[in-house]
Amino acid sequence: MPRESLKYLLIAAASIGFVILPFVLESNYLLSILIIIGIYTLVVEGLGVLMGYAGQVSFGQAAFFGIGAYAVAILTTRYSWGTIPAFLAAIVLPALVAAVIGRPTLKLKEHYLALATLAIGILVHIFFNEGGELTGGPSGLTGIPYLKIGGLVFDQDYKFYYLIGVFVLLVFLGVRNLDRSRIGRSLRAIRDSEVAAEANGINSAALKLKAFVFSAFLAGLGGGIYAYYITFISPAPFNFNMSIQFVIMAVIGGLGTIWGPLLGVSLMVALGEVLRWLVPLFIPNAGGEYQIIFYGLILVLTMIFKPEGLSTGWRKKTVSDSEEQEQKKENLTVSIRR
Amino acid sequence: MHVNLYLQFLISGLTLGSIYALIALAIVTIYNITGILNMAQGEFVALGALTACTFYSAGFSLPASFLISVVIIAIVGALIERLAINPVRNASSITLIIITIGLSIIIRGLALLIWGTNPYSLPAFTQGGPLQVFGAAINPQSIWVFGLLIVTVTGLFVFMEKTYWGKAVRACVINRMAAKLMGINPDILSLMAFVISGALGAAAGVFITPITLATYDMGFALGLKGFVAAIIGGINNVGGAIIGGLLLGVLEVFGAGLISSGLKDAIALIVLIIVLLFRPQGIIGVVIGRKV
Amino acid sequence: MFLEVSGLTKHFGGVMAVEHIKFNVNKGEIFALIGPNGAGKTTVFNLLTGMIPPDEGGAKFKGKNLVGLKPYQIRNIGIARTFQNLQLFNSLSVLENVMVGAYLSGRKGFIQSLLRLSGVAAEEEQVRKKSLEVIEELGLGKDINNPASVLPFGKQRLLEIARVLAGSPELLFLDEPASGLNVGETKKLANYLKKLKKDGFTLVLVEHDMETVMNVADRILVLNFGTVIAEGTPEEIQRNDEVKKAYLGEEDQYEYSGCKWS
Repeated sequence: MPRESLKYLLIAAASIGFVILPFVLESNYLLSILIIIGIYTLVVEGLGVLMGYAGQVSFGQAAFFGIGAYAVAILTTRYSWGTIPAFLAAIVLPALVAAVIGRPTLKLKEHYLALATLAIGILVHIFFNEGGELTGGPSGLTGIPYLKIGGLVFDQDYKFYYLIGVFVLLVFLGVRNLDRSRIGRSLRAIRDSEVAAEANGINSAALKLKAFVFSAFLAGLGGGIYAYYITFISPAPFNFNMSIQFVIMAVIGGLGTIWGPLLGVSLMVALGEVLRWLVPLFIPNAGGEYQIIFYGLILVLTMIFKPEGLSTGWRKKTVSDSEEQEQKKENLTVSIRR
Repeated sequence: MHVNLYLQFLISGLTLGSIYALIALAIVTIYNITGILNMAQGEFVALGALTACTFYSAGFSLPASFLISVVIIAIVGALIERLAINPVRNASSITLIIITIGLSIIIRGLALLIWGTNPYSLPAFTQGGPLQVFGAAINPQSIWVFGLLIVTVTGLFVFMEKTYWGKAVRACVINRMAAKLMGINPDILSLMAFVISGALGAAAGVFITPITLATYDMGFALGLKGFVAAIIGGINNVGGAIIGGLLLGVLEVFGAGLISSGLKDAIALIVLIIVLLFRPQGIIGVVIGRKV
Repeated sequence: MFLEVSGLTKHFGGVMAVEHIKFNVNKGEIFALIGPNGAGKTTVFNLLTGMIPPDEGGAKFKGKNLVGLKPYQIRNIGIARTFQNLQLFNSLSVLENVMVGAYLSGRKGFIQSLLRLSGVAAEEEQVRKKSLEVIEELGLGKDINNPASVLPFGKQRLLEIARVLAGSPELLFLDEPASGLNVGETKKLANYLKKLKKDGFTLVLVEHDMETVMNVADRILVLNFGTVIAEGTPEEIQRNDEVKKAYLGEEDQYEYSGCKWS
């Protein structure tokens, strides 16, 4: 069979599989896990663009995710906004915050954004906890209404499953478009050589800023959907550890790929479920804190041994490759010096 | 009456600030030598404090516990450099930051496994009640903390100015390539940087424990404050890091005392964001102090 | 005046890298910067393309001041450069490298690309076509889908030139385009540079290969220890005593290393 038609056959099979899955699955537990995977995938697709294309990292993605969720919760419960306007606010607000902190920091060396997002991440989490009336403090907010689009009320898991499926598909298509465009190419060029990218007319700071704002936009989208799905929120899921988990998901799935984030999220969510069951067997009355050791180990080992992640991306960085770059950098400084 | 209160705030702020300054010093040392932002620095502090507590409660004397802890954490620093940093030393700075974040998570998790969630304590280094100065009470332990900062800064200064290795470090900071050509091995310098910051972190942890107690998760906040201090000072500036640390400590205590104690941790972060947004090269500037 | 450089000065930590450099480049000519190693040629390039800021002096391109502009802004007004030590996008294919070079001929932004709004595909196709033309012209047609990193060195040099050409700059700075090329490749390059001139490009090059310089350049500027010691046509430069003296120490090398002065 020719490759092309095999591809279409696979896509058709996957689509049918996707559509009938809720009817085949008997447990709501598995369906809810799939929904969570879908929501996280939205967030990690954005982070993947930031990390894999623009070569930047954010340690505050959970905060953008949280801002999206809290925007929905606060606007619908406290200010009785409609569910769609609140949803839009959930997307716009994180993007605005990202634009404000990204603009000055992305003009600087690469690690400044990492620090700024780390600070924003923790700060936002403190705000959720200490926000009193507005955020509901540590116990959070309840009574978030079901999302209503036209006459459709998303009050059951299978409906959310389809909704999330559509969003994930759209985001996949968008990222694929981006990858094949002048913008995606330029972002990858910046990652390879910022000097050469600038010399070819690319305003690298501006482009990186757009990638960062895009990642916050997708995190907000995920957060908004999350709030409508769970219908109550508290600060806990939006802490620094969650930001780290998003980074791990992006890294292990493979940076600079479209499917990598889905793979990374699925693996991490599965691992989280397994650990939740496994850890208490070895460490009696252990809480969730212990899981984080494994996450740290995975992160460190991946970055050392397989920084390109599990699925092959465009970037295959080897040791000799990076040595070559180091050598080039040194040549450059020497040549500038003389 | 108010003046006394402010003086009291100032003293507590400087005590806290000295600890931040010490952590910032360690961060700046590693950054200048290796170009790495070590996000695990705070964990060295926590490990140092907890290790000393364990040895002390096992019957060792306080000075012995201190020394053992400093040596152990220096070795931990060396191990981390060899196992996790050295193999990827040419990777991008983003990769390296992610690795040090991962390390901090692992260390915190292991500390939780070993020591649990309960706080541990050490007795004050010298007995006796607080000293009264102009109506403000100074905890004698604060004086020890100031002393540690002064000794460390002096020691670092002598090391940099007078010893061969100190000069090698400075050469390496100015130009890695040139240092290599002069026969200085940047590999060994990188190892040294992690050993020094492990020891420094542990010392800071032991000295602060009589005041704040030691917990497995104390490192995260302290490391973060160290970063803020280093950034206020302009990340590669030793003098700036010290002033940045002291400034941050004072700011925090005044903020917590005068506005709200719930905001104590937020103050450092707000300062960090303001500095990053408006004066990312640091507010102390290059006028004061010099590079390591 | 097309390019007007006046009083360009730069120190590196007390060491004078270049001092009061002054020269003009006319539209449509090939202008060469030569001089012994360390004379400051690459520094002049870096100063003129916004990579490093000058301490004093400046430059004007078609009357526009270049000082204070960032590299991408300088590229935006029509000045492109290549690098002495190659700066390719190693993980991108040859075609993609050249297409990045044509970045400025595209107009579609982030959101348009994301949603693939109308016109994006057409623009991509246009850029692709133009890039392929340039690639063919430089003889890289067989390698379009290979990552830049796997090309042999000579082809990587050509790829850098192809990349800047795809952006149709008016003024082109080439930093040692012939270094690392073999004799045959160097000859081809020289012919190609002449063709570019015929096509209306203005070229400024730093080059160590004297045969190439004397062959292609209309005018030559000679630097030594960061200052201008001579300026003129190839014939004038070859007769200039000052220049001979500057190169004296390297004369032997000139004889033995196949016309290379480096």
